[in-house]
Amino acid sequence: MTGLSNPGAIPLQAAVLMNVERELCSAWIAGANPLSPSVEKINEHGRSALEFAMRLKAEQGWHVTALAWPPASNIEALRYALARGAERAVYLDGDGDDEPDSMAICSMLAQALANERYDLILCGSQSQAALGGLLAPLLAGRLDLPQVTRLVDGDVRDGMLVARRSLEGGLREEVVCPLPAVAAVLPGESISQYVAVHRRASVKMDSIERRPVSKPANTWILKVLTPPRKRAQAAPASAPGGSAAERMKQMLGGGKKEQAGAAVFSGPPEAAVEKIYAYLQEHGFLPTRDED
Amino acid sequence: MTYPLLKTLFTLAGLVIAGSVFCVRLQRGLLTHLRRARPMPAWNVWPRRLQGLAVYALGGRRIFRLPIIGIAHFLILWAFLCLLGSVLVSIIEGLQAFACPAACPPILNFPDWWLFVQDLLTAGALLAVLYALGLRLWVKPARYQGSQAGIALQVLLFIAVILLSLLALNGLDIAGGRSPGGLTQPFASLTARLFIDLSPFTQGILREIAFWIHLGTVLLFLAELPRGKHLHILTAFPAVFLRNLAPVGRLADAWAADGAYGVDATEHLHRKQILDIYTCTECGRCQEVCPAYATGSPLSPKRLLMDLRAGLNERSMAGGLIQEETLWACMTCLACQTACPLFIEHVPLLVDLRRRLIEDGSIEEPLQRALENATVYGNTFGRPAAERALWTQSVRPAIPDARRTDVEYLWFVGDTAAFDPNLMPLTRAAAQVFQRLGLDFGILYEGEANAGNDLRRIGEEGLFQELCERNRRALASARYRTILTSDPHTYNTLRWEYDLPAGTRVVHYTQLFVELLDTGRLKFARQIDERVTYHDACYLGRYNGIYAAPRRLLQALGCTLVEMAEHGEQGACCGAGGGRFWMSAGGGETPAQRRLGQAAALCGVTALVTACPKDYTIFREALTDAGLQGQLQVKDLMELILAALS
Repeated sequence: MTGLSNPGAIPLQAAVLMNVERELCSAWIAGANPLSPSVEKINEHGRSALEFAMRLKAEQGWHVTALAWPPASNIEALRYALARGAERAVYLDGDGDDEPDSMAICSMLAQALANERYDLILCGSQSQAALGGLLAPLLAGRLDLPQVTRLVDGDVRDGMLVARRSLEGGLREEVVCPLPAVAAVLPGESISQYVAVHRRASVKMDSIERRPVSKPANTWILKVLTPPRKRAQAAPASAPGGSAAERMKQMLGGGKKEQAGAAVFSGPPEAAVEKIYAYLQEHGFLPTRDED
Repeated sequence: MTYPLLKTLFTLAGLVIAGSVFCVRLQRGLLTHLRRARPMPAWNVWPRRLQGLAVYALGGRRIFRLPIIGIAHFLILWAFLCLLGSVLVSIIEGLQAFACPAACPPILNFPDWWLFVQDLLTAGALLAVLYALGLRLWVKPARYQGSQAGIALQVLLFIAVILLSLLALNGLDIAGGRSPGGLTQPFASLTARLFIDLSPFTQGILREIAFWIHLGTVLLFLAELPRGKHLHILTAFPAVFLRNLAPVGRLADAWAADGAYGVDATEHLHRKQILDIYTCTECGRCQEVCPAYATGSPLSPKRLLMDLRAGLNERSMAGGLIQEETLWACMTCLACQTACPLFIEHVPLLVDLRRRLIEDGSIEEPLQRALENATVYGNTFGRPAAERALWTQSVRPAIPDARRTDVEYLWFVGDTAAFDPNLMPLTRAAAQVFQRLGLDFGILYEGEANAGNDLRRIGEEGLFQELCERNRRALASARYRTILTSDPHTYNTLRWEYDLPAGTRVVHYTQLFVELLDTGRLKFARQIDERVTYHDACYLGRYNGIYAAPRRLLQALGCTLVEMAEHGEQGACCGAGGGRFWMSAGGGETPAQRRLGQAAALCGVTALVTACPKDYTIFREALTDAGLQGQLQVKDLMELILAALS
């Protein structure tokens, strides 16, 4: 792991984590094949991360390396990155084609990055589809680096990442973080540049480096299922004349019958916590002191 | 030093200087660019090319679409060709002056009929030049907007001076007894009357003045020829001779320079394109018919060629020399090419420039989304392939899958008809019509992908090739005799660009229905008593020449057809082609609104009928913006047919 180098002499290094996500397609149509093959597309978040890196390259001459992990279909994301303008693409060959979970990806990335120089690791806020944006925090923890999540825009000045983060309600927060760092980019602020199919197709497979990494003993995703979903229960409307606490009770209870099982506690937070604790002990949700 | 010797020396000097300037300018311009450009596509079919040269270059067939200026141009062209002999005589006269100080014997003895024709053409061309000058100076038609008015006037003045001085020369020759005059040269004889009373000495002086004006202007014109639009005098003939004889619906495959498709510099253009750029006469016929220009977009096909001519030495043509908005404004309707008297191919040139924009990723968001959807899902709507046949759910009996059952007609439905919820009733109507007619047809269900006609014209050649390959595989897995289409865009690319196995027939439903009408298989149960106008879809009309079939169907339906002023080959575009369907419209009037306005202005017309799903969609959307709801309806030909069959 290296720190920030002299920008004038050696270009700063950005590592961008890219992957492909699969979308299951189904439609029940009389006479037609109900299941068409799932489609694969470049993860939108990863594309935004790459776009941010390409902006750094255009404006400050950064050197961009794209990294991907199993399954091998993720190589398509690397071809996309090379066609978009990344200098290097590295596929972490994890001895098999199973999809690793975020912890396993972190482990593989840590192995691969151990002998690499980097100044900024960029990934999508949800680089790994279906998981809640764990990759950046886990990787930052693993590499002991500062991290910025939900980055929508930013700049690198004097060895610092000046990042604008998207907060709830459309708010923006500007944070400063020293390099090297990990940043998770959120799509939406800017549009990724279009990469022509011909450009992507003309990227040769041998231009992608294959880096063997040992398969970590973590969880590996075998398949994604679509379990049947439970239908939501209709909740009765709250009585308009009642107090706020009454209406809350009614909503939580789902009706007069269930009201006995619901409780709303009022008072200052400390007192409310005491009451909730006592309530949960009383109803057997928490052990009592005697049981401890 | 005597005058005859001076005359010879000056003539020689003039010839050398003008000839050198001509050669240097030609070399720096046209010849250099031709050398830098890549070789042009292979050309052959000599008899057809020679015929084209005679009919279109010498006969000027296309220029007569604007009759008066067409006649004027025809007279000037032929006067020029005819006067080449007189110019040659003047040059020889000047060069041999030192040898015969008094009067040289004639080198070329023209027969009387030649002198007569020459005299008529001189006078006719003079009138034509006066008309053209009047047009430029006073009438100023809109099509001349953006042309180099100064250069156009300069050319006309050059021609006028050459013709007037020739008339004076011939008149003085008649007055001096050196030419026959009379009915052989009626107009020169009239000129001779001006000089008949002058002394021989004065006549001699005036003759020398006329000689120098004539020769001097010719030489000046020669030196100026390689600059600006006058060069078309030389390039028009090879441009017409080498014109593209391939079907207009077939776009040439993309050519890659340094691994990138498209045109961004002179080296990426082929030689015929350079010739086209130099051949543009700035007549503005393309601009006059361009729907993008008519609705205030920055594109003018004429300006495009002029800008390219001025910037052939520049790099970064796509997006630099020619602005991105200009390139994206084109609807690829082919109106410009159809109007051009010299067969200049604007659309392939524009697509080549667009291909470079695509390589650079410079496209607007809705278009990018459409392209990415087509890449991932095989359709521009971004819907899973399995949903392509959702519209068939309520169609009974179920439509056979052509991949499992032998069918006579394979209906290639197309994206818009299959996915647009507003069009699904129309698509179902088409299926019902086919079923009622007892057609043995099937579809490809999720095996079909976007045909790629418009994606190719956007400039996404790689995506087109990918989709083309995917559809070819799906078509190969089906068993059918004829491909039936209801979308003109799909029809065009399947017919011309898919290189389907020999013997595969592609028809648009209007063609098929006319065949069924003729054989008596299509009979309407009732007549549609409605006064309608028909909008020619560009990819059905100009691209494939299908004008009569939809009109014949409308007639058979019992509709009263009222034509808009712009119809048939001159039909205006609705603005859906060339990828404009997915792009945001500008703030002003759209081509569809303009077209609806034309339809609404027709007396008693209640509906505008189309035979294209994209046109139908774009017209329906424009109807409200045009404020014509309640006054005019937009109908698809298929819904009229279904109503008449019911």
